[in-house]
Amino acid sequence: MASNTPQSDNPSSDKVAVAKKKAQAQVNARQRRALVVWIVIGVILVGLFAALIAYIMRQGNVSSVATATGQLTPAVATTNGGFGVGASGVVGGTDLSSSHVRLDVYFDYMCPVCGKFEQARGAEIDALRKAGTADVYYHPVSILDNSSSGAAYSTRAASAGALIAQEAPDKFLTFTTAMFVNQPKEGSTGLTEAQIQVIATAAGVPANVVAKIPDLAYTSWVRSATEKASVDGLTGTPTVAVNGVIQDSKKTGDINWGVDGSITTVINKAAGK
Amino acid sequence: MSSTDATDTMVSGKRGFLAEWPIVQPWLSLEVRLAMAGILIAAAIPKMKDIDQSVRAVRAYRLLPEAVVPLFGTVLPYFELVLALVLIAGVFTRWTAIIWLIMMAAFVFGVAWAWAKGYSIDCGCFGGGGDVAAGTTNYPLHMLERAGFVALGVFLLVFPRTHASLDAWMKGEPLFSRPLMSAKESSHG
Repeated sequence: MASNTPQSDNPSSDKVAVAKKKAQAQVNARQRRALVVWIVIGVILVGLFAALIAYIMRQGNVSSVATATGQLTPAVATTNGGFGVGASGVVGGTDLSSSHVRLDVYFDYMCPVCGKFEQARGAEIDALRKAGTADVYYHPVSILDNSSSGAAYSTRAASAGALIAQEAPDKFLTFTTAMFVNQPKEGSTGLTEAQIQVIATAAGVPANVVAKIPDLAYTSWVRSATEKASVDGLTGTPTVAVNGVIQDSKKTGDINWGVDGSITTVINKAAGK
Repeated sequence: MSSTDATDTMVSGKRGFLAEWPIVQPWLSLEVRLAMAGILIAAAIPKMKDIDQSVRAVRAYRLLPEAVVPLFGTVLPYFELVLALVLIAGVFTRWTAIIWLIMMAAFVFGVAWAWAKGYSIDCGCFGGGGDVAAGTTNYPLHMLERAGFVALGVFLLVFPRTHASLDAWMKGEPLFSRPLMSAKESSHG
């Protein structure tokens, strides 16, 4: 064998040394590669595992409210997360009727356009409701939690709305209007519970109900209701639906609330007037 | 064999930018690689902080059946984060570029679909999404942004050799290697 030759200037000995070195380098490279492959596989598996846990946890959270301690479901809400208001202005009142046109209004207390909607169309909707033409189902949803600097204002405000709809059903509309009058800027941390309490008190909500606002007992329900609304086709707020059909402002015959009287026209048509 | 001779010959044989290319390219590829990782992290973190929003953004495209929408919306940011880590490490860079490009193709399709259908949605690419007033969706800008991302991916696909990569470490090469002739490089890749 050439490697046994002592002379270092032997060209064949050099060749063998080089070949050996090369072989060793290849073995090292193969080992490194194997190590890296396993690390990459490990990272992918950890990521996948974390994602699946997040998925399972989320599914549990959005589908059931009862599992969370201290969390409540407002019995007065419809299964799709709406608070129905008829001519009397009371949530879940006896004046609600399936013979009336059903108008669903989806809003987020943080959404500036919802504030404009309330300002511009609140009176028009109230008139339709008071005339007994339409029952209005209000859906406070929380799609703008990431627009309140981590303070989750949308969820907290909607939780207060749900509490008042449930426990002071005649004050829900007044409270909601007042919340839009005092609407915080999008991107700010929103209103604190204490500030919401002041608004609720001014709206005539009884003190024992106002005292429950900081409990935030309906946040879990708000999350489920928001998910339900999204599944039902909600992609933004404000959104209105007539008899369960979400209105597309670009579609002729649908409500385009930016236009005066559009809601009245469509509702009256649906009512056969 | 020594690569120095070959490189020197190459450098002396060319002028200007082309001569500098073998030196510039691994640095440029490193920047592209890290930029892609940064983009993925910027896309993943807001989604992870608000998974519900991520799910809603996926749902707003009305492309996938409801049965898989929550799973897709949840897994997507984790997938983006893992891909970012792989990019930062610089491991299997060419394959990572291919996965990136497949992902971008899917996103471009999604945005084109929403545009064609006239949906007024935000892409939700960097969190948020789903919620914009009618007519405010800036589809051309979204597409331009996507085109830039595709360009990054293509660059890394063509020039996967980068400095400070696990790819080099695996092969036992120096982390900041001398430039090699492009012919040799392609035989390596």
